[in-house]
Amino acid sequence: MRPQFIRKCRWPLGEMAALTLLVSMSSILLQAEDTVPFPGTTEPNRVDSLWGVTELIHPTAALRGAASCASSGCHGGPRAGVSSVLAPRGSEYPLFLESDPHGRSWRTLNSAASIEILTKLGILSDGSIVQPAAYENCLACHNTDRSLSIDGISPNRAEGVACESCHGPSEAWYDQHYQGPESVWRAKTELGLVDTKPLLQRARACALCHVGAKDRDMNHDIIAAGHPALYFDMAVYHEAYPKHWRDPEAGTESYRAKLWLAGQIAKADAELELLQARAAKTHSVSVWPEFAQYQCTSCHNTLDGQPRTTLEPSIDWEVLGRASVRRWNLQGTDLLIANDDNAKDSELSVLLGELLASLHDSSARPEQISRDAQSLRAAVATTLTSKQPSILTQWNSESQRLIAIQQLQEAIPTLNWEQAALAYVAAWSASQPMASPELQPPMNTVRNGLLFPFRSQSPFFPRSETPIVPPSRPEWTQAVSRVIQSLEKVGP
Amino acid sequence: MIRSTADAPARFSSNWIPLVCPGLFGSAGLRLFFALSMGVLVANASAADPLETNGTLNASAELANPHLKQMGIKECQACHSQPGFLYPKLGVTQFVRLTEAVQWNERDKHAYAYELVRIDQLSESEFELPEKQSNRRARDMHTKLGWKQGDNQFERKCLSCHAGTNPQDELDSSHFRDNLIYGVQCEACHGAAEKYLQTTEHQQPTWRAKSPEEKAALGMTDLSNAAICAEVCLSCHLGNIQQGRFISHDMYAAGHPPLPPFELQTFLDAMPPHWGTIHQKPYENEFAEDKTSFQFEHEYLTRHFTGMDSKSTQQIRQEVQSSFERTKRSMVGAMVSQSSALQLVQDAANQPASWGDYSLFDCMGCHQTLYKDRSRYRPEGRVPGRPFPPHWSSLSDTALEAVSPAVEINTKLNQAFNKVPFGDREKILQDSLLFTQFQSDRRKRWIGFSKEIIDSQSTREWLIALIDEQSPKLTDYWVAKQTAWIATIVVRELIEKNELEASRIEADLDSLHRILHLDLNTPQKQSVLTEQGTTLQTAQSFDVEAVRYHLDSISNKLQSSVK
Repeated sequence: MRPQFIRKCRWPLGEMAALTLLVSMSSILLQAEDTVPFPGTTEPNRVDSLWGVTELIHPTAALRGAASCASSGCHGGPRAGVSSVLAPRGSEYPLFLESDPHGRSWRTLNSAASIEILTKLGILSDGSIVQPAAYENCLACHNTDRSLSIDGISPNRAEGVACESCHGPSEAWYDQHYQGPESVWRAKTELGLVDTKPLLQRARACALCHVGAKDRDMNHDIIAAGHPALYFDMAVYHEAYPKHWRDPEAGTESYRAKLWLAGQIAKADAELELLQARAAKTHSVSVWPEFAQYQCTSCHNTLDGQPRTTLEPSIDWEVLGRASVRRWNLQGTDLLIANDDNAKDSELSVLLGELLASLHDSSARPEQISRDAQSLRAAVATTLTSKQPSILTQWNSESQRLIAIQQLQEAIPTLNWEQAALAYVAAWSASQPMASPELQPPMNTVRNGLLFPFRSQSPFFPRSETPIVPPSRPEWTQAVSRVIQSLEKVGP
Repeated sequence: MIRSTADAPARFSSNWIPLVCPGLFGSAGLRLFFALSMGVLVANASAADPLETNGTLNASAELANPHLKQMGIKECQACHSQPGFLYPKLGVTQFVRLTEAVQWNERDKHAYAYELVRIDQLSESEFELPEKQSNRRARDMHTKLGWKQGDNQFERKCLSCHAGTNPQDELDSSHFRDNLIYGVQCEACHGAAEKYLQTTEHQQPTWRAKSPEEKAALGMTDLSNAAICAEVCLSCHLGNIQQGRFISHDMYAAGHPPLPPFELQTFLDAMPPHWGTIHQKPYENEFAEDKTSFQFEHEYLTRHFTGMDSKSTQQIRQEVQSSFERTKRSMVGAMVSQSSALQLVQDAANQPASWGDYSLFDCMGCHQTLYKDRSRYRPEGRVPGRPFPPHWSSLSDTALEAVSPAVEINTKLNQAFNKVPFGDREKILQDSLLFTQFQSDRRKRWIGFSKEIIDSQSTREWLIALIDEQSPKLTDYWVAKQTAWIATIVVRELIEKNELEASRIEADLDSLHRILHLDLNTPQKQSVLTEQGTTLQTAQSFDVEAVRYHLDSISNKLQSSVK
């Protein structure tokens, strides 16, 4: 495999060293329990400090705006390509401005569809914001600056979700990070510049909005008012994302696999933080029970047992009469458990079982659920720091291939939409962009089976130009089997 | 009898009831015979004052006391199967046909409520028979719910409706077991007979002159009052937690078919009635010498209608004949549905285990597909994405004046259900007194309303207002169905009373029946499971616009045809 890999690699071999360095940096960061919290924020709890992200991108930290980053000598390029991956490219902001969907998020928030959502939720009434906290919850993910104090026509408002949304508020480090690698290192470790190079940390930054956080909560009320449900996957989103940076690993065989795993783990951490906040009833926006914590299809199913799409469910209970827990963001915990030698009675699996049981029990006290989520989250952190610190370094296309086969096999008998979609994404992450051509047709069929025939609120996929004919259930099942066969053939 | 098997106790049948004087074979019959022979004087002398027998006369005593003992159907059928040949001449059958039990047994689905779900005494192969589909479902539910032999879950949770039992019944008594086979039998609705069978009054002609309160004091429920009748029906057809009649979401999930929306008059018609309405009474008496003279007719009529005391029997009879009684029952049924639904919420709030049970909410509040092309109705002022109580039980009282407490109660309910998904229990409990007062006021109001004369103008106005009000909610199949049922009842009654030309409006009714599958005339012994697929498919794919068109058309025709 290796010679082939070198041929495919667009990067000079010398940079492999840099890749190794970056990956080991991420594990160093993960192991560092006492990350310096951002000045001015409250003392983060142990779990927060593990990620170094949630407390860095903090609503109270001072922002300077994208304009500050985008001066032509810095990130406002254009500048010719550079020779080293460690050197900044220089044209990040123009790239972002031209093609990054995050740059359009302010426009999205002001679109007719958003106005309708805001009105239905009673946030907007007679042309003014009547629920400031709820609107700030929207701004938190649709804008760099969530505070209502700046007005809508400020240039800062119009930048959408720009630099500081992911890289951290820059007041403390904007004039400190361009004096050589040491200054960058210092800005990252001491001053609050979020290091988005390690994949786990990057995924955690994405998950802040694409999964949610205690002050960024896209809940079922908002979905019901018209917002698409969140189905984030790190590998899939990366593929589509117009990147303003270069990943040294990009193009390597295990790139998608590593992105996928980093995403799963980061999503689990974000989900548990969100769940903890939602159930603790200390939340400004959501009130328990929060339906977004459950699978869409466990309630939104056909009572007559006649599915209109390939995987639209008739009633199929995981626990009789109870909504099934949404596992889209929790899969990371399953992976950590599966990766553990003592999986069955490991602390993680016990805690996950307890959490799921209390989520299924409609009479469980929300405080209990919140505590369960907190314990599980802490256990995930412990597992990552002490038990499985190298899970991401060791994860490769082979591990991905095996997990994809397993998930596809499990998805066939259940015909559960969420399970099937997760398996599809896992399989997609296992396949190379240049993968065998025989994989493509069945993969398309599997994907088409996941589509809903009309553009529906959720699960949401962009509409294709030509109408897609969804496969029948037998066709879909057959396609899954063919994907499994193709994936098995690739194996050693 | 078809269903009589070696194992099951044989059901009674009209065939083996002696035709001459059936009463002689039962204790109740003996008392009746005695009462008849001794004449009215004796009856009057022995008629105990209900205030004395019962101690006090409960203010809301129109509803019978559930703590009394059920005597079993055999006591009732002794008289109510076949009148003796002398009875008409004696005037006994002027207001009662005495064939009720047979009518019920041979035509009413309630008689098979237990038979269709029984799970004992059936062999494995019997369960597989096509006609045992519902028993099979009951057995599967039992398994899925994890109920064990002997834990009495089936008895407590199913038989309260499927055999009309009460929570305080002794499950081990042979009396309890022996009566199950009769399903929802006489006393389940009319009230436990322990007291009124002990007195001789029930068998005397004076009984019909008694006030509902007096009868209730002896344990008999006044089902001639539409509001009370609706309350009794709804205790199963919607649910009543206090009476142990509640289908939890777990039970639905395990396979119980969805409860259809309830429309009082339509459902009474479908039973079909084993009684006569006031319109039909008194019955023609070919044997009596004076065919226009009936014992206690004036008392009987003034008991059922308010403000009639000073009028002559003839006058009252005329007014009653002109009254839109069927429409009235539809109106009252809709109002009481709303009250019963509110009561369910209140009772659930008092029982933490029931609170938040999904079955308190509209199925379609959650079970809607994620299609965007399907328009969804969301109640005004509700937070998106929260379950809401079923609309069909909330046909509001627009046409019968919007009462201010109703508006206040509605606001409070909306607040409680907006605050938290599945509603804020503490908030409901806080306002408990207010709800209770409101419910009791409403109850009195509807019981009183059931005794009023309804004229053609208010009939028309009510239906027009109802259609206007329900029009935006018609995306909900249950609302559409209930509204169409009511429209059918009202329109047919207007036609019957020559207030409307049939040709103008029948086509709309026919279309509604076709689109919404409104018919309820399944065979007596057939389970609703056979229709469940059609119902649910219709629920999710019926033509909303067509229903709206026809209802609007009915409303327009009513407006343009005012005489």
